[in-house]
Amino acid sequence: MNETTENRLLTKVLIEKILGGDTRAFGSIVRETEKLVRQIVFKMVDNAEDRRDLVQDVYFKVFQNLSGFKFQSKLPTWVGRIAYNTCVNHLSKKKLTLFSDLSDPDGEEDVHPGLQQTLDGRSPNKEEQALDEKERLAILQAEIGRLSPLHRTLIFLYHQDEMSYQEIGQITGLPDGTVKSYLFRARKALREAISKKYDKEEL
Amino acid sequence: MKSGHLTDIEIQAYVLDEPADRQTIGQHLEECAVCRSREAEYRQLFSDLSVLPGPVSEPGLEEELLRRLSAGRPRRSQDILLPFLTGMLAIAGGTAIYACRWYIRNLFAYLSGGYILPSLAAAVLFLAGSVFFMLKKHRREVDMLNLLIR
Ligand SMILES: [Zn+2]
Repeated sequence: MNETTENRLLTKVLIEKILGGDTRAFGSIVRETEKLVRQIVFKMVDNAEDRRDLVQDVYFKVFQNLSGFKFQSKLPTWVGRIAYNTCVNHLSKKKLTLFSDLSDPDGEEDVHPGLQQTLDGRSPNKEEQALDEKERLAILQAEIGRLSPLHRTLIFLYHQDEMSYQEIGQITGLPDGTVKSYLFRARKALREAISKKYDKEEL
Repeated sequence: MKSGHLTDIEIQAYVLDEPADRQTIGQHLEECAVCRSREAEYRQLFSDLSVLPGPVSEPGLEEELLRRLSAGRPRRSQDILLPFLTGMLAIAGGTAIYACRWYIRNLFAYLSGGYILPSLAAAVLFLAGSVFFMLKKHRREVDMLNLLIR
């Protein structure tokens, strides 16, 4: 039995147990998926109280709809999809933005003047600039905060949860190519914003 | 390459080990400090993204959830069978009552027959309607979740 078949079987047994009335068995689904659900809810929604309620809502939906899980994806991906949709509904109810375009019409970017100046004058190595890691991460956090909830979520699912474009597509319902292109723009926006900040601090 | 430099797409793909013309890109990077600098920025960015603190798990969430969930078992597809059968039974009962309406009217002779039949018909209709909408709602929920997965 290969790993996928074994996992599928284990998930099936687990679901049967829960549907049979063993509510405690649901705890293992919560443990397995809590980090992902939090990642999605925390990146999509800013309000702390709403986040707490949304995490609970997600698990209620998962619990109530377990019999509808058809093994067309991994269980955590299915749970992630429910989390994502719950957040999208929440944002739309609160009339908040899910997505704002990070336009990049031709996919090309000239090196911006600030960077060019630095390159011409001194060492191009940013690490040599005396900004410690803490400061760098704080700048990064702030810049991530400026991205739209969707871009933020994609960045974290890819770079922290190490999900593939396909898995992220299953969670967000976006075609793989769209996920890839949104991610490309978000990374580029982050790189440029951080680079500009460094240049400003240099002046 | 309009400017003669690598595009961000190329540099990202190179750093992330995605399909790209690695040889050409690698060669350009070796010769070009401008693109090398952007490459370094991406490497730093990706490494920083992976070490940013993730969401902290909330102590007690599992217990609280389980406590609240144990109040209601998840719906099974089969769970729909019971209300369905109940509905069917109600319809059959209603029909039987209607068929024996003369007998029943005599049984409740002191009540006006004009009340009994419409009340029965309304009850049966209500039951049938409830079952129908419940089935529809369940179907919709299941369909929605399956749609989500493509
Ligand atoms: Zn170059």
